[in-house]
Amino acid sequence: MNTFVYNAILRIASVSLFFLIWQFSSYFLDVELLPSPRNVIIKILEEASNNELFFHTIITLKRVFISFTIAMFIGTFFGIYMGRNKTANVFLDDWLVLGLNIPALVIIILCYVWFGLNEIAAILAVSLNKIPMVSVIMREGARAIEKDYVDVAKFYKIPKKRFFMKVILPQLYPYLLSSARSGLSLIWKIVLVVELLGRSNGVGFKLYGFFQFFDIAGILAYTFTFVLLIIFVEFALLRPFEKKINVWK
Amino acid sequence: MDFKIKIKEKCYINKHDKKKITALKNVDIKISANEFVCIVGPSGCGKTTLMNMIGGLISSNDQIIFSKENSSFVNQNFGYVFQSSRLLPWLNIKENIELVTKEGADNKDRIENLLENFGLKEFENYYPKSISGGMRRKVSLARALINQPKVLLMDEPFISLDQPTSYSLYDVLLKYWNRNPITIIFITHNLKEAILLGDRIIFFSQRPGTVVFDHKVRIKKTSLNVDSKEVEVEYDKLTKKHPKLLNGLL
Repeated sequence: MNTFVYNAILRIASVSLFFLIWQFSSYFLDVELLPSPRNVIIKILEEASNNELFFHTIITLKRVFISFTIAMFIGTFFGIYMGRNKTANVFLDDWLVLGLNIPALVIIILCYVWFGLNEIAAILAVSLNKIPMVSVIMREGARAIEKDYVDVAKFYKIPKKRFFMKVILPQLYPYLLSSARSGLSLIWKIVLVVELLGRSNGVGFKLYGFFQFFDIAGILAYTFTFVLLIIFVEFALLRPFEKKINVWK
Repeated sequence: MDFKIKIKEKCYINKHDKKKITALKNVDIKISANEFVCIVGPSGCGKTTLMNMIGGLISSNDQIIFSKENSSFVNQNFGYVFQSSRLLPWLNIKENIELVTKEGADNKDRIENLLENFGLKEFENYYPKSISGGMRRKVSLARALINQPKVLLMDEPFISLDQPTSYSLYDVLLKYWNRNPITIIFITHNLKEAILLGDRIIFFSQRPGTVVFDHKVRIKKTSLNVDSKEVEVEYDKLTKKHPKLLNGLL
């Protein structure tokens, strides 16, 4: 049996076990408290049939995408800058520690208070929560850049663009992937809180509604839909990209 | 094109104990155009520091002076074969060579020719990890020559290679040098290698490195064997006349 088939079987077994435990647990608990997987699927189809699911999911996805892009760009820029420049690192290090330690909820509340309950405040709150983490990861990446390769580029006076694309960026790919992965998983969770606290649409807003009515099936229906989307991004985008950049290994 | 290297003193601070270390002192070397100069000296005597200063990788703080005979020297093409091959592992062989080419130049044909002449054509899409150590050195040499440099710096380029591989690389290097005469500065620990390849051998002292002896090699390069009779005779002559030269070598 080749490794691919073996791994696929392991994954299927693992997911099946998860659903089995869920199904089994739902027999012993009140159906209101823990609806069975079947009930959740019915709820997903119900929400999909009246387009509610697509509408709110797309809105949340849009917020995740914008916040993620902003956080990755700004975080990567500052991370690389701090990793390569000692003065900048000393100057900005305390800001970074502060950014890492302020609770997400505080940033969200402050953004809403200062900028109002609007889209900009929501996106800003999510991005600000993620930027420090991206910066920390990218700073480590920039510190790990191999001086020997930089010396080769320096000696041959390689043009700046080529230097960045061929010498620096490939060394940062593992760190970019790592921050993208942790970014995605963190950002969508924060987006839900942001929506729950101050938006009138999105998955977070819907979850708040379901919470008011103790509709656990609704909560799980939206959660699973979103988790499936994130898994799709992981398998359709991140993994193939990782495979492509690691071909030399 | 002749040039001079004149270094009064080159110091650096040791990162661990913060002590000041003098790497080079009173170095004054004149190198003629198309000369193959070998620099031989014990470990830590500042040979690589000297090479990095010539190549501009270490700031010279005006302590290194190139000859006024040709002020454009610093703008001339340089090639550098580093101690380790320093091939970028995520680029294939061809891409590694392409990486250092000058923008706008007609590089395609030159890369093709070099790959062909160095016997690397069939490996052009291989990654450095999947080729042998000897071949990696060959690629490193090809990369150093792609811009047709006037001066080639080589820092122990054939260290820790088996003899047949070293011989094949001597062959590649000398064939290129005979076809395209350039100035080569070649660092080695191996005196026999220096006798075999170089026109001239400059001996460095223990740290702080300074020139202790400058020797013109006068043997016919009939074979590429470091154990050939000519090399042995020259080696014996040198070591008998200057036994201290071998201190710290090999």
